[in-house]
Amino acid sequence: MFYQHNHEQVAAEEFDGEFVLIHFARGTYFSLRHAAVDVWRQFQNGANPALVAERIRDRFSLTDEVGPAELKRCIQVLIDEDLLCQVEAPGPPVEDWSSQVWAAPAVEVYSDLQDLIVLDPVHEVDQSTGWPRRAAGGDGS
Amino acid sequence: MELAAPTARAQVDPQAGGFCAAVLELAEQGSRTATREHAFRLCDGLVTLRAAGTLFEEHLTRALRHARVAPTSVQAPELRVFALDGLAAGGRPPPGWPFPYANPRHLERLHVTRDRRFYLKLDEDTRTWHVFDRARGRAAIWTEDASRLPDWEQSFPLRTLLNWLLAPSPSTLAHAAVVCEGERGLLLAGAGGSGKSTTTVACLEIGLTTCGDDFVAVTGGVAPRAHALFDTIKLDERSLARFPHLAAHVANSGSPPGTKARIHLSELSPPGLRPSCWLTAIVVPRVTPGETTRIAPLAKTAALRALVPSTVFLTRGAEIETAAKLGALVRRLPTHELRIGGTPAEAALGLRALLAQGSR
Repeated sequence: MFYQHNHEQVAAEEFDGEFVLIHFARGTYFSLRHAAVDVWRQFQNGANPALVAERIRDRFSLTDEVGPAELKRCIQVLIDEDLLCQVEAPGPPVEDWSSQVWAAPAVEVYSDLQDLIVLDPVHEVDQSTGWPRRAAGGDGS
Repeated sequence: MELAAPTARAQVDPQAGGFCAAVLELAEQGSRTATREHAFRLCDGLVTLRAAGTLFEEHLTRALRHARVAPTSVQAPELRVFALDGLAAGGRPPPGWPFPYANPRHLERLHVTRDRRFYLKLDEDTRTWHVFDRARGRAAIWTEDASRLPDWEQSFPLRTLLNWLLAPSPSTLAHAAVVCEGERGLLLAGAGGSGKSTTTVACLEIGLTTCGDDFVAVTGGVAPRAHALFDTIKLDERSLARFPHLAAHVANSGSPPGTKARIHLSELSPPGLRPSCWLTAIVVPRVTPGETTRIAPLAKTAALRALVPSTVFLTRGAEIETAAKLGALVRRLPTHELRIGGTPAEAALGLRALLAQGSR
């Protein structure tokens, strides 16, 4: 399974080693710092989550005790928050790294502006069958 | 003319065009009863408006008085708007939302075709349609009953259409205030309650001017500019109490408790509204009780978080373009935090000092 930046719904701006992501449909925004920046970059062309985690482990020479759990959590947040969307095939790996030194991924989620999303309830995005799609068990009205 | 609901998913985009054309034609026909045409210069572009229904006309034009130009001087406006109050036009109600869930640019009650030509939005609460055909430079606003429109919408009429109009240009709407001294201005960005409006009024009190309190247009590039769109300032009860002389100018004094007071700067003397200015910095106000009021450097990412999410969440349909343009603006301009620990007057003096620094 491969994932990529959800360009249709998510703007990403990078300043001084930090990414700010804005999800237009959900009314949420995010700050990515440290290794989360590299995780995000690795998905720009489409990539497999396990392979991204492996590349970052290799890059920073991480052991089983340090890093893998944080990387897995970070990637899962990016998927769960719909910042990444599924694609059919991977693209070339990204060689742009933010740092030489390992620092655990930091992802901050901001939902204080969700009330401003009055046009649309939250929908699950399905890039293959169309958008928006009613979330299973959700309101979706 | 009947407005048929589309049925086949694959035909959504062409049908959006047909639906848009039909609404435009109905609104254009309906607005022929209007007694006059209005013309405005907004963000260096010309917009004309013909509205059927006296109440709707007042609703759509009061906050734009500062930008009026003679309609006879307008040969080729960027946008012609036809507005229809269904009740005033013989009880013709707007149609319901006809589009199925279909393509990636299709949100419920907001549809933008893939080629960005047609924009359609329905506010279900007030039964108000906005439609825009970029290729023809025409737009329609069709509401069921203008008397049911919420008061706050009078603060920024045509906002939805201006947002769509500006999408492919170097300009964009920004959810921000602007305070100016001479031709130089500061963009004040921050969510509701951050002190933007109170600070803006405090700046007017010491002789500065403004390009707007809630929404302005900004144009990027090497020398970014801000443009006034609406002449309104909205103050909550507490803020209004700080400026008691403004109480006589509240335009919506009969509104329910809790409604922010709406003041039209064009109706004050002096008005304090400036059509445009050069932006020299972005400032994010923050109320910090117990501290001395001061201006401190602010990380670009913090300024971006204060400016971009609220703008794109409040101005739907051009999110990708808006985020990119405001992101570029944040990269270009110095960013500061205004820590308001004292009175609004102290904050205003701090901003005046910052404007003076920029002019050296």
